[in-house]
Amino acid sequence: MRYCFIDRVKELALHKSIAVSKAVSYGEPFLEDHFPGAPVLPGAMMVEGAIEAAMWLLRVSKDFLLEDFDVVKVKQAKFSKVVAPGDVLVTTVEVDSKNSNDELTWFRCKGKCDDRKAFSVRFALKSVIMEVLPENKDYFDIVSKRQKVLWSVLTASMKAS
Amino acid sequence: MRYILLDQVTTLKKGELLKGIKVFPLTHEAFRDSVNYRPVVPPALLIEAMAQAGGVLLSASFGEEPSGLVFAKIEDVEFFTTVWPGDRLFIDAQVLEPSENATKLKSTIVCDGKPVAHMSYFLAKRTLDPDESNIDYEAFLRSHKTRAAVLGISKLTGGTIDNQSQ
Amino acid sequence: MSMPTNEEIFDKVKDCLINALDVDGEDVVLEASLTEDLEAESIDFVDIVFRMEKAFDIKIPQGELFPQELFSNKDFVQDGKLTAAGIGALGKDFPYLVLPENAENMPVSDLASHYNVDMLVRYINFKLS
Repeated sequence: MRYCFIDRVKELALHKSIAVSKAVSYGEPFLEDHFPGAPVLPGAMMVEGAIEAAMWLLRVSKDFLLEDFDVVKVKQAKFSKVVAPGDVLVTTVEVDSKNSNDELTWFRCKGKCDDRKAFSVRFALKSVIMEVLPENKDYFDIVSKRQKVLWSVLTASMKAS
Repeated sequence: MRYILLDQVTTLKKGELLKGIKVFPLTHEAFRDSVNYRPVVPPALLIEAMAQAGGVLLSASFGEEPSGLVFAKIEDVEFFTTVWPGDRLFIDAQVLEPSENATKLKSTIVCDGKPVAHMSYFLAKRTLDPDESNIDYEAFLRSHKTRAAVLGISKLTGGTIDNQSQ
Repeated sequence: MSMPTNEEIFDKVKDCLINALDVDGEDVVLEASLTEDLEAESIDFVDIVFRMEKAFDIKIPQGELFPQELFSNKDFVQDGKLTAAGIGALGKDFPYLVLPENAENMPVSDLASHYNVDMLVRYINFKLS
């Protein structure tokens, strides 16, 4: 299974906000255990999708700078509605604030399913700049390429429309 | 990707406290083709591991019929360090406010003696109706038994078990 | 313990709401609706009850603060609206609630949004006296 909890980017405003969707389907491996006989998208994976979306927003806004993002804090995640196979969760992530040297960014986020609220959460990401040593350059090149490839796939439908 | 995020339960005090272990081998899907430069465990999985520790604690404390438990709300999570392939995590879950419908709990993760994360959260009971049309109730009950056995808690009869390996 | 003033009660209730709902202090005014203005959801009510029990050292039995059970009683709610008996019961058992003027014509689901910060303060006054 590809560890990726968003399917496509629907909207993007650099440095400001991103909207993504995730479709939930019966065959997805993590549903087998959550729960056996009653498959539902785990709340933690709704948060995972929001975190991934926020990371993409920062990555693309900074033109794929060689950096990682640490999740430092997560606050007030409320899970209101069950998201089940056949549903599509649309999540909007907005930048709330940044600290003075741009290192820490707070996001607020809301997820909806058929226009009904499924969850909301706030979290903070910290930027971790990567130091590339000559002996690791190949590895970093591969990961950079992977990022660009996945970003192309996530935005393919956005470009086509 | 399997979604059981506890490997062992080492201590269980019904209604109060659970201590368990989770390891992250390099075989985990999150490490494969990652778009992050560092192969670290996605924090959302740590959130889930902490919640599952609480969930196992509560469901072991219920009576015979396991209720579904729903992740209702996260109040606060703080992460202090990252988790890497091969790390062995010690996860604790504690009941803070017991209640009929929704229980408030706190979980912590420690690795190599250092704090990794802590979380305060609410789990709510979801009464499962065996007749509910899109639920396989038999499968749910069976999996409960399997999980309890694999985690080492099915021998629990009294209030406490202590499976500390050291 | 001497009876706290209205202002002291409001300050403590405000603290509970700021922490339970992760809202700004300035949004917590007496007229603020818990569900509409402060975006409280059912899980939040559990948190609010826990915090208020601690803050005021009281026990809040289930259904005393937020009368959910009343709404599932068929004598009190018909066609999604309160009956005269329902309005009577609310007035008698929940004296701190302030019903809107056209309560008998309002869908029960709309009534929930009517529950505001002031009603929490009134509940505490009712409970402590």
